[in-house]
Amino acid sequence: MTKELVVLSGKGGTGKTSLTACLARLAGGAVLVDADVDASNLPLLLGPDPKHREDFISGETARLDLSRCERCGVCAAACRFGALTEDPSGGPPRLDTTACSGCGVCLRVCPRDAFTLVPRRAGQWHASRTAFGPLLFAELEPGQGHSGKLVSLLKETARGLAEKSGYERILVDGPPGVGCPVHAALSGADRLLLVAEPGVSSLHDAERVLGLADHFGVAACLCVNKWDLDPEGAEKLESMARSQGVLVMGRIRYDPAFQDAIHHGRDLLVEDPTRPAAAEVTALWNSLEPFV
Amino acid sequence: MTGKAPAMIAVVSGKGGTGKTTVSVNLALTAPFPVALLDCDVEEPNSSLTLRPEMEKTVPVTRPLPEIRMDRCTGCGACVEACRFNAVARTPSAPFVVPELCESCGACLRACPAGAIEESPQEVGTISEGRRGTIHFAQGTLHLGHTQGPTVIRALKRTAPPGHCTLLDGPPGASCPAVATLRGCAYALFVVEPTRFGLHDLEVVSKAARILGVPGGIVLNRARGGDGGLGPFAASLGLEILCSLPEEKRFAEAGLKGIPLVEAFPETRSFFLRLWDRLPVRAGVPT
Repeated sequence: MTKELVVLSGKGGTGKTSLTACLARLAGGAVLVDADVDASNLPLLLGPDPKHREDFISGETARLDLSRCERCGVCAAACRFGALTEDPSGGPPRLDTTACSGCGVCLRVCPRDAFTLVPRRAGQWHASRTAFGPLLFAELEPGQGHSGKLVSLLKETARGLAEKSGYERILVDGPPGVGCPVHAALSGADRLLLVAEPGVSSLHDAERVLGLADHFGVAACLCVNKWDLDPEGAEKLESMARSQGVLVMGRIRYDPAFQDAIHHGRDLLVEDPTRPAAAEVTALWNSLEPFV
Repeated sequence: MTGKAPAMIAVVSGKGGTGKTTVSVNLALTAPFPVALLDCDVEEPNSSLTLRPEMEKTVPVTRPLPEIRMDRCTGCGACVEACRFNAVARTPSAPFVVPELCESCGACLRACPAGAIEESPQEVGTISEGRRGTIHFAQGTLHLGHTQGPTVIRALKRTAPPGHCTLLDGPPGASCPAVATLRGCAYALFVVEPTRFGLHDLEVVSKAARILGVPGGIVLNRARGGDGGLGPFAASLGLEILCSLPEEKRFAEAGLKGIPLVEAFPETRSFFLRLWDRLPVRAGVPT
């Protein structure tokens, strides 16, 4: 039975991707998913060997046949997404495909049938091989949405792969925030590893993520990264976590070697395994392992 | 920009944790004229933790959610067919709307021949407004479990006081929330950490800004030595590097404690004043 661990933070920049790469190594093989499809960084650390690439077609977008348009302005008035704006000089409306939701209301209201809906290419996704197992990642087209659907697609593909190839674990490197892609990352996960840094912002944001995890019925663990930058803040995070029944899994100190590792395109454990932070990451995995 | 519409500067990054809030808050505190600061990271708004404004009021943000009236529904299924998001589910009795999938487009309403669909406001978040000195502050907060972040962002931007230069503390990423923040802005200020991740993500979000027709520039944060040779890379994206804030442990510590840099270290005021100076006039900044 495959277990799925999702790594989230709420606040960005706390070290999710750096830690996920280390955990991938320590796990000795897993299906890996980079669910931060807006800004996919895990591939930069794992040197993936690409195997398969596919367009991500999601939803539709409107297309306007200018030759049929009679500049009546009905479409612009009906569009609730601001995707159609009237031309003040009397020309045809301007269609902003980044704002268009593909709802088709413009089709309905246009008296000249000047609109069609066409499939929307919202991005692309990749299946690849790394030293630690298959890696699924993606890039959204700039300005496009549907990030939640893309994450769901990656996770579904990961599950299929895990079952077919006999992997016991799926590790999901999540995006910041608590929006659509985070919902998709949490959905169906067995456990959440919340990577937080001490400090007022991270504490506030972590509480929101834990609330969402609760909503999705995903049990959570906490790791405080860069804890020594604010030991008092680290204590506050751990107290907050305990009060919510979240398991406190360990602390990792701030270490510039993490950035050196990123610069060299690899994880800390191979960048410099002698660092105390490397031992702390290993300890984190040892605590986490029984739960995934 | 006309005199009426507030000039908006979106502070974005692509990568999370690069210092958007640090830059937004400290710019607001050093502005040589009245500014508004709008926290558009509605999933995780936290600029108020550092700015510490006096909050004055909170109002709900709603979106129209359709409901099918059983007493009027004829079971024709036109609404089910009309919905492009599979948000209207067919049942043996009357269809019903699945709120999590509904985009509030109004297609079902328009399709219904029996006038059986009515919309009522569904609360998806809140906007809170306040002040700190002459700084007008507002933040949007998306209710947990909801996904209409852009709806909250759009409503928040509409509260910008006319005639004020308005800073938008943006969300990370480059999809819907970042796009909703960037849309219609006069300028995008990219807060960039010069690391592989930071530069990779800058490329993505700057493409989004370009597609939206928003010009921009870069402020480097946690820079190690000048602009680190990033000039050519920035130029390849059509961006100028305006300023560089160095990496200092004491800055990080103040940030974690929620103390604005210009309060903890008054000598940093000159950095932010210089940044104001370098922001292009076409962002509508009054001279």
